[in-house]
Amino acid sequence: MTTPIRRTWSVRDIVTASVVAVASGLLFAVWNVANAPILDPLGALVPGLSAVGHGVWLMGGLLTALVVRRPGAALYGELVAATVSAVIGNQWGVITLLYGAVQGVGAELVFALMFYRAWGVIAALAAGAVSGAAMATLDLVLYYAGADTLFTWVYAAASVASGAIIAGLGSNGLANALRRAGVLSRT
Amino acid sequence: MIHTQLGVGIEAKDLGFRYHGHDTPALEQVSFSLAPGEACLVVGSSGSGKSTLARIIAGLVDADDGVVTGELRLGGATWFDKSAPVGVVLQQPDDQTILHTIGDDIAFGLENLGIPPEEMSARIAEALSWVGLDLPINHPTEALSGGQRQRLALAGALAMRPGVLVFDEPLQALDREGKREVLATIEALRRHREMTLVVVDHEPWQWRGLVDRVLELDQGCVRSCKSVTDSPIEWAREVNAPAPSENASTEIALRVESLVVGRKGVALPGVHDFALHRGEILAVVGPNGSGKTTLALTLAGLLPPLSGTVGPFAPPHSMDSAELAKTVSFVPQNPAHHHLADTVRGDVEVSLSGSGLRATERDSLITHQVKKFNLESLLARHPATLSGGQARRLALASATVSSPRVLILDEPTQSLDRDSWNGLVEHLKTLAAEGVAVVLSTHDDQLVSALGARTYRVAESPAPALKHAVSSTPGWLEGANPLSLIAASVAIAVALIARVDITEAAIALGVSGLLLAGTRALRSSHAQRLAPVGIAAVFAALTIALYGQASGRVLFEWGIMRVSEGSLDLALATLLRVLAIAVPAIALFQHISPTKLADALTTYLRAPERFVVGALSATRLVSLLGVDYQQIRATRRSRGMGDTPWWKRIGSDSFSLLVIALSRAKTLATAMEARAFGRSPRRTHYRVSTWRGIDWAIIAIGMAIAAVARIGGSIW
Repeated sequence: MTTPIRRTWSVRDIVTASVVAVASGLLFAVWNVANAPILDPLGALVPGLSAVGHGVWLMGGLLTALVVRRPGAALYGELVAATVSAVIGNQWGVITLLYGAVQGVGAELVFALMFYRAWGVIAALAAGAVSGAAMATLDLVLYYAGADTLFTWVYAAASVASGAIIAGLGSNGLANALRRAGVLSRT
Repeated sequence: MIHTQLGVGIEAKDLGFRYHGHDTPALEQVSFSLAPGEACLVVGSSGSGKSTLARIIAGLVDADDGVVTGELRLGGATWFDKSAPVGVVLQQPDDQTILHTIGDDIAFGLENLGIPPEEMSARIAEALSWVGLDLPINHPTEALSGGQRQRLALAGALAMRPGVLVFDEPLQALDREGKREVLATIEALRRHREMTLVVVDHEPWQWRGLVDRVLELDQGCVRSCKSVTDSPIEWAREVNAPAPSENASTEIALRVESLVVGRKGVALPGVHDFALHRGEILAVVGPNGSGKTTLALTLAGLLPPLSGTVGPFAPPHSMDSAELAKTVSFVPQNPAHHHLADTVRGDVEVSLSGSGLRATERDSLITHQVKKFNLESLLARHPATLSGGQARRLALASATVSSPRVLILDEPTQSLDRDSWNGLVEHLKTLAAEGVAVVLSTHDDQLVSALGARTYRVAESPAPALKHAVSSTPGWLEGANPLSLIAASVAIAVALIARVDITEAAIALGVSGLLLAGTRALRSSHAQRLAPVGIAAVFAALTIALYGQASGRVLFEWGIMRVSEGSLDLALATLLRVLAIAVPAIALFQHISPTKLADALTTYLRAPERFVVGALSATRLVSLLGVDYQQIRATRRSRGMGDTPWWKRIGSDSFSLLVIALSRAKTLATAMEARAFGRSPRRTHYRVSTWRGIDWAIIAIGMAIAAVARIGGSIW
């Protein structure tokens, strides 16, 4: 692509980012229901391992950022997706919005530290990991304050890995596939 | 109030344009001038640059998209200052509707122009009357027909009082009735108002009598620009009288007996009885909403017949997908719903996956097929990047590679330019000559005569009753500001999140649950949403019971699991806390509509307008995904891929949906830009987000529950 690098958001960017974010919100809503039966047996065997699937909830920010490649996209995408998830109704209620903000800021930080120039697989992995760390922190403080040390560490590690792999690598692959499909080209 | 609309003139001098990343210019040395109030039809084949010209005039394509040379003036002002608004109506009716109700949708452009809110209602009413839409302003845009949607788009443009109106193939996606509605509207407008029109269309004959001048483009250059009487273009599509089919077979390919069709058990009027020989073409015609598509889907084995039979083969609806693909093939209206692979070649190949052919046979079949449908140069392309005509050819190639006996097409000529249209006619004739029985549901009379098809008319059915959102008994939370609902949930959550305490969570859950149930804000119909929350709460509690910090007596120990009195207490607290936070939120958030939330966010929280409005328009677009999904499922079944278990196909299905949503987003963004979205930093607001006494009450109740729980928790 020979399009010059731009930092500002065009209308097209905003609409594209919004569609990706709202669609991610629907994905969140599905995962809100589907994750427990899939992951909790894992969590029952190894304490804290249920977090390996939580990276799905970080894809709103990651995918939006990797698709439109604009400053603020990660935070916007994750916030919108979390809002959609909350309005549909889920087990975290209004706290979902807090999660959206914190996870979005986590991913956004990484893209900002790279001056919004890197949008490749490394940036995606790093942003996913940091977003995952942000999510784990909230989870452990708000929901698993009563957990023991082993649980805490496994949970944190699983969240970070899941963020890097599911959200980071996954969104990177998905964004590339969308690019190949031609739906992101300007004309 | 009659407002005289003044058209402005357009003057182009040596106008050129080359998109970034393209080698050849889309427009070169284009010069012409239009007087104020003149109507000009722009014609030319695909790739002639006519859409680019229309979009440049509308200000939708600019220096961000490519390199502009030469000059373009609208009403004397240079094009760059964009001071004279240009109204635009695009092709796809679904994708250029922006908001959820017709009033909001028309107001959108006015808000972007910064028109004072008190002027808006009058302008909206005026625009609606100009286009003859006699509907209440809170009518949901979801419930509009294609023709109504295009008139709504026109009303949205007219309300902005543009000096120029640009139509980019506004009739392509419409049925005959829709086309008639839109053309009559434009004709009436032309009679009463002086306004400059630029119309791009593949089918010039539709505009005879409505335009003054014809601009003919060829590969980006002006070939002629003459008044209608002097223009060399043909005003009628030549239709070659079809040769009578020589080898009319007597073998029955499709037989329909006492068939009644419908959806979800609701029958459409009419009992169908007909038979089709091999090589015959049958055109199913009739007005919109008469159930042509329902009949087509039933014949294709994608909907069950309500009664009667489809034969002479086994009932198609009970065939498995692989068998169905060899018997009846279906090509949907939107070819995007038909594509299954990420390359053109792969897409043709997918249709053979259940055929049991050897690799060499398969390859030679594919080679033959791509040659036949003229796809050789496109083999590595992604299907979503194809033009309308190419995508249609690919769909035909994929649908017929497995040699089905019957081919069913839903509106096959929609949005085809002339060359592609001619190509399609030839392909269908060839298929019929090879013995395939073809059924097409269509509005295109010329297609019917060009193919010499037998017609089968479906009777008009009464318009389906409008589904209105079931808003049974408006409760006391109806009309509440979304922010107060959120704030109340925050108050409860903040109180509970700080400590893990059984009593506190139990009190909060009990009080809010009783209050909500007592005022009927929470009722049994919410069970569906509450069930997953209950399950999640139990699982969260289980985790804590097994792995929570142990204290007190140990009740059970196995490996690293250790259930103790202390961990059970923590588990119970966790369970209650999850419920106490989630239950009120679910009940309260039921009352948040995307539109109201967006208004409240921009009014009270000063959230960035462009993003909030962008997200709001996306919620409308994403709500179309359900229909897209049904289409995708149906075509996959028809292509022999329907037997794949859900866990294998969920990934590719979701991806296809995202691709479809994003291509809709492209049009939507253009439509929003055409309504001046993002052009001025000061937007005004048509809808007012209100904050009333009830909103303070809601917050107070939320805080009271939080306080009671906290005090209760510290006493016991």
